[in-house]
Amino acid sequence: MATLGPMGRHSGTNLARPAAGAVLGVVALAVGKLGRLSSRYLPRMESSLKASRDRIDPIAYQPGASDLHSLNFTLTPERAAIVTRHIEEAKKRASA
Amino acid sequence: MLIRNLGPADNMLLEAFECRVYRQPWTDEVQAAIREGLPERVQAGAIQALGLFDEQTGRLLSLIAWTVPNQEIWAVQALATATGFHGRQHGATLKGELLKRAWAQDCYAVTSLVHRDNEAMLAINKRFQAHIELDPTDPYRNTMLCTIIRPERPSSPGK
Repeated sequence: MATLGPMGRHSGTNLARPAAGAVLGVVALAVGKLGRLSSRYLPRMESSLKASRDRIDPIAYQPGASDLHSLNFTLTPERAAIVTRHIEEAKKRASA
Repeated sequence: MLIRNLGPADNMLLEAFECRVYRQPWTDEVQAAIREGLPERVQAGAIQALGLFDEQTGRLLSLIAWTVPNQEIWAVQALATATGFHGRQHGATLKGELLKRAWAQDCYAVTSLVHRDNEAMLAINKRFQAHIELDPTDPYRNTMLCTIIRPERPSSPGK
């Protein structure tokens, strides 16, 4: 039975308690549910993340010139032309 | 640190040299090339090499190997630093030493091939003002030709 306050109205305090209790109960249920869900799904998510990490090649390393990293770097005519051009440009700059 | 020429006496060090780095796939190839190809070629005199050593432990920390296709142009075949000793400028130190030797012997350009993913090696080349362009012979367009030109020597008085 509701109690009346000194001014003849509901004090509110006694009604607030069950409401707060209900809210806390709902929150506790939600937390419990989340906990159960997380314990069920987190390991799955973790293993799925690990699997995707393993699938991804860290660097999309593609082949380069055939004589790269083989101790067989040869000065082909095309390469020599580039190097010679740089040498000539440097000589021109120096003499200018 | 001690820098000296590598010779046949260093074969065991070269065969055991480890320079593989996680997430840098090209270091596998470099390590294999050094272990399997360098000792024989250094011994035959086909390739010259310099090593940077820890004076206290005698450990080979970094190495650079090169050939001299002609007097004006030297070609770097490998520059590698031992696993666990990266980020200490050992590679740049050796490259600088090679450049000093090249310039002293009337070489005009020191050139090398670098994979475009190899940022550390490209940075070393940029540090020495290298001209960097795509290697014209690479069908995959992944290799850069890095060329460092000899800085102009100060003209001697009276010339």
